[in-house]
Amino acid sequence: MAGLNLILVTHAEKLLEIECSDVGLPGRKGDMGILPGHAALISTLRPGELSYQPVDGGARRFVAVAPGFCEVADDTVTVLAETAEPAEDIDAAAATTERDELAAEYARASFEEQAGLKDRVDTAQARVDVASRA
Amino acid sequence: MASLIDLRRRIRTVKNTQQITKAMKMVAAAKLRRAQDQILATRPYALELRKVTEHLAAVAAGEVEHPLLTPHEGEGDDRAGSGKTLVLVVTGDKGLCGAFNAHVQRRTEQEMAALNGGGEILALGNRGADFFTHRGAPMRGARRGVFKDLSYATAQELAAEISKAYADGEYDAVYAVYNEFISVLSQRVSWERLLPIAREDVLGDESASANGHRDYLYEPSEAEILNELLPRFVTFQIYRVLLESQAAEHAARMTAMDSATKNAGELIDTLTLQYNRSRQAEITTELIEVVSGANALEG
Repeated sequence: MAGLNLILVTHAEKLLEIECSDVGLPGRKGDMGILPGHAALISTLRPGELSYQPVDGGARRFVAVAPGFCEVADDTVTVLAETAEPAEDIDAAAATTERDELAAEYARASFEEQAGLKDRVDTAQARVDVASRA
Repeated sequence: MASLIDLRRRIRTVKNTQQITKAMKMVAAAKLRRAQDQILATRPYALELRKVTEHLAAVAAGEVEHPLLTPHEGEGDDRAGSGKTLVLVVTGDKGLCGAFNAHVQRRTEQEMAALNGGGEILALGNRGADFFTHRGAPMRGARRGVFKDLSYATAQELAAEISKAYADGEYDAVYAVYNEFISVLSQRVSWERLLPIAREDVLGDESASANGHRDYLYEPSEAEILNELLPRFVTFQIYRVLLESQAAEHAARMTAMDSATKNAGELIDTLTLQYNRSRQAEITTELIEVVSGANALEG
């Protein structure tokens, strides 16, 4: 069966280039599942959980991504994220502390400041969620 | 003529200095390699970013209005012309790297003169911060120690500040002066506009990309995607400028320290020659004294 080629790139490195059978993306307006043969698509991503099923078997894998973009074309999913961390690289305890701190900061912040913090809070939350999957 | 002891002392001093410059050269070489790797690591992201923007260009270019894209002097623009330009001056945190910092400072002064007092400086790196503060140049601010631990977060924070100031109409344009890393042996001072973003920079050659363009689904709309993408584009530009400057600084320091080491070596050679000559001259004099003393006794 033809697979999907997933390429995950951050500003600092090319994190992944792997063949998978399906990819789950945190789209700005909702989660998306991409299967082989998907129509060409460009979308923004919110901070969240990217998941994929490697074609050579094994468990489904999860990656926490900070906001970015994705492009789907010709069975290639290219994801550009500001940061990306695979579940097994995240220190769950540290991520939880960070999330709690940011959430507290967010609660104290004024309305204008909250807009700036939103992505960071969401990113922290995504890291916690993903860490729990490892 | 200097005494033997003096010469010996000088040789020792120069040798010590040489050891230091040699060590600095090696440290700079190691750091340069890391900085170069960092630059290379951004390439895939840069390529993808460009690809996506170019795809969008073909569809959305006409409809997109974004504060970071629009120049301020357009007719009927209520933000028109604060008449000020922000200049981002990127220097190193440390000296001992040849003309690296001096070149950027000189270029900045030229451009500031050309702006006729309409320029304000945001200095990055201790060297430029000190230099321009001392000179009393109009400053927006200074960031010190940015290169100690250069990260994407630094660029994000800067980009946010600059973009906001630009969008609020504080400045008509934002430029960056920095050392571009060309090779280990050469750096070029570069004067680059960051804002407003030149349409052709982000959007590429419209006619060319329109030809190869396919039908994409956009989520949300093309314009919204582009609007989210532009701030990232600015951040990435700043990050690239910082990385370039960092690599150039290490390269400049490496070259400077290499020639310092060579110069020290030459100095040591000259001094050693001088030392041996005076030593020999002294021995000869002593011999003559001994011989002539013996002759006097015999006679």
